[in-house]
Amino acid sequence: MLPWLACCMSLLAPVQAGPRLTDAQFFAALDLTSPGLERVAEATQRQDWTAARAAFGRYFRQRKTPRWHIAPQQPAKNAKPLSSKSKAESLLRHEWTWNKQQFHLGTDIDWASNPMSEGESKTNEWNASLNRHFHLRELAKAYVATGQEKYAAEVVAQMLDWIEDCPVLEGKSGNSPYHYAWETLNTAVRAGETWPDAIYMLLPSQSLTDDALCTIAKSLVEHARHLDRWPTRSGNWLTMESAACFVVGTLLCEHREAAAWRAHGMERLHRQMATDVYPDGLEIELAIGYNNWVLRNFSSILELARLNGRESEVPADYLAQLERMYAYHVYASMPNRLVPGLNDSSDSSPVKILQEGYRYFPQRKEFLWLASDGQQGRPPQETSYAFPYSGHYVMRSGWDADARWLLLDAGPYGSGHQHEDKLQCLLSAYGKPLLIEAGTYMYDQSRWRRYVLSTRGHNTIRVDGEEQNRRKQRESFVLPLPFQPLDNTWVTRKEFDFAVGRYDSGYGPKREIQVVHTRAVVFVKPDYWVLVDTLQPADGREHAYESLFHLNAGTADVLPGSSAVMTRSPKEANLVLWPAAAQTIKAEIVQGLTEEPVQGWAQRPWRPVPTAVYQWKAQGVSRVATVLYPCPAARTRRCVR
Amino acid sequence: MTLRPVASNGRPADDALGLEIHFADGRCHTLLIADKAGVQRTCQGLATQAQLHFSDGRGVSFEYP
Repeated sequence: MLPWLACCMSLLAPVQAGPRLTDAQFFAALDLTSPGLERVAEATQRQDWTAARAAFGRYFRQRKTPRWHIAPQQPAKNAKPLSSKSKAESLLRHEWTWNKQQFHLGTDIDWASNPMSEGESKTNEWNASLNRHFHLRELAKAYVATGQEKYAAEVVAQMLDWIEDCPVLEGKSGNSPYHYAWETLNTAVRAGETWPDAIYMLLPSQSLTDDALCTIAKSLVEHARHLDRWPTRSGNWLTMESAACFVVGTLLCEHREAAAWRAHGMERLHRQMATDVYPDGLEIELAIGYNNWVLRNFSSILELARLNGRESEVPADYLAQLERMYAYHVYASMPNRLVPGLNDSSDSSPVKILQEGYRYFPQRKEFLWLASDGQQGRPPQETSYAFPYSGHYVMRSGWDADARWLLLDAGPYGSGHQHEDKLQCLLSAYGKPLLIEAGTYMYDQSRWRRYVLSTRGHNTIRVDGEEQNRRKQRESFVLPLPFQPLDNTWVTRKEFDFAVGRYDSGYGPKREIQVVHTRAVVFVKPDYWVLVDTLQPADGREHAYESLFHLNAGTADVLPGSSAVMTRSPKEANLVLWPAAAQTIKAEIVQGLTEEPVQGWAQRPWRPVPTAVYQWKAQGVSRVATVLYPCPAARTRRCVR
Repeated sequence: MTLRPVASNGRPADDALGLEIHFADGRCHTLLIADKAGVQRTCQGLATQAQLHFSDGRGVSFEYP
């Protein structure tokens, strides 16, 4: 079609508004023989849609089942008003907070808007967060806490505005290219979490009129159909999408498609337990934050099924499949009781997860032990532990807060949230994480984002100034099915632990630098570690190597007359790094470089950290040993010579 | 910390690394780590076929395999 003609036709076409589903279509798809829907059936018979909507609204409000995780409750009366600075009051003014910044959404919210669309800050996450409607929960909670109708009215107004402005996509998923409203993860978060929460909190509210309830229900049908039609292949997206299908199928159980939505959601979740969770308990994204989101969706759907007497729809081994996911938290945990956040994840508290895990598996006393910060239950008998599929090798001296702990990451690249971090080590001792990594950063276009993704942001080795590159090697992402343990060495004994991993995917933008890095780690229990890095180039050329150690300290320096580096944290534990090699090694401390390539930063909070950079050149096979010796605060002066 | 030469069949072994670690309190630990076990290697009076050998100066502390 000629462009000018298409333009004219689009101007003449009626503006599409949601929901696309008509009243006739909505009511025709309900099982109107269900008890309680008699008046809806009568009105539908007469095609009196006004009456049908009113009858459906009344029915929905008065029905006792299905139940949601949040039970409807009468809002508080005579409660103290919220401060004008509260989140809910800000939201009434359409002041919306994202990534610790406040944005004014305007009087009429433009759901397609995105102020983060240019420069380094460019990201869809601002818009995705807006369209996931987390903020509606804040408003709904304020309604319950205060009984003030204005909060409920705002929730309903925003939901109806969103539904009208964002008619469901037809014939496409909204994932590629990104569609602000119907991207499947945004869709799933609304349908599976934020909308049900808001609806059930607002059920007693007069603002949630019969008409409004009916419109929201119609949109939920469109949500479920969209998610059922466009499941993602794997990972946390699919889990959220599947969970949302089960949720809508449960909460709109009167719909003729509800059983299919539940069945498809449950079947996909159950399949994911086998295909997306390694036998050692970590989800294939290998990032604890996403792992926990997946686990939460697995368990919340089990809870929802139980809450509604739908246990028969849950596969017999569903719960048993979760045990290993809870166990990962215990055996990987750091002495500070957090679980290390690799890839796109921060360190994570296992408390709530393991409280839940212990409820399901009361024989696992170690779940209770970590969930209660060591106050109840008992720690595992094992100290060191290997995750032979995820490739995480955890070496520890004990379960006390001062324990020495090291994790070697020698696993697959991961899925979706990967960092170029193979063979990095993290270390904690004497109550403090001492060797850390850059962490994660907003999913934007910034140099900081590139840094956290790169080898530069991790405690491993770069070659000729280039990064590891598994992003270009799809087979390195996830282990093939059926899962087999990785070909790494792991030995644990009373006196020592020993692990060996290998990186052989090349360095540089085209993986053109073929050097194999093998890292062996020996834990001389209970005090220190020795890393032995072997670099084996495929060619006869000289290569430049750079071994990195991101240190959790205010300062660190190179000890005079040596290549040894020591952190300087007064009154806290410190770490000494002592390298030895046949070649001359140059040691340097880099901290807080802001020009690209940035170096010497870490998150939580985002701050400059001293980073030891060891550089050497070699032709042929090159070996470097590095002793990692943590020193308790009181002994720092005496532990090195 | 000092690297110590490792030999195999009278020649320098390029598949292993020997290490001597001296501590401020006078202790000295020695470590031999090789790519694989089953090859006779020598280092500073030590002879072993192990992939991993560690001594704290009072005899063999541990070996693998």
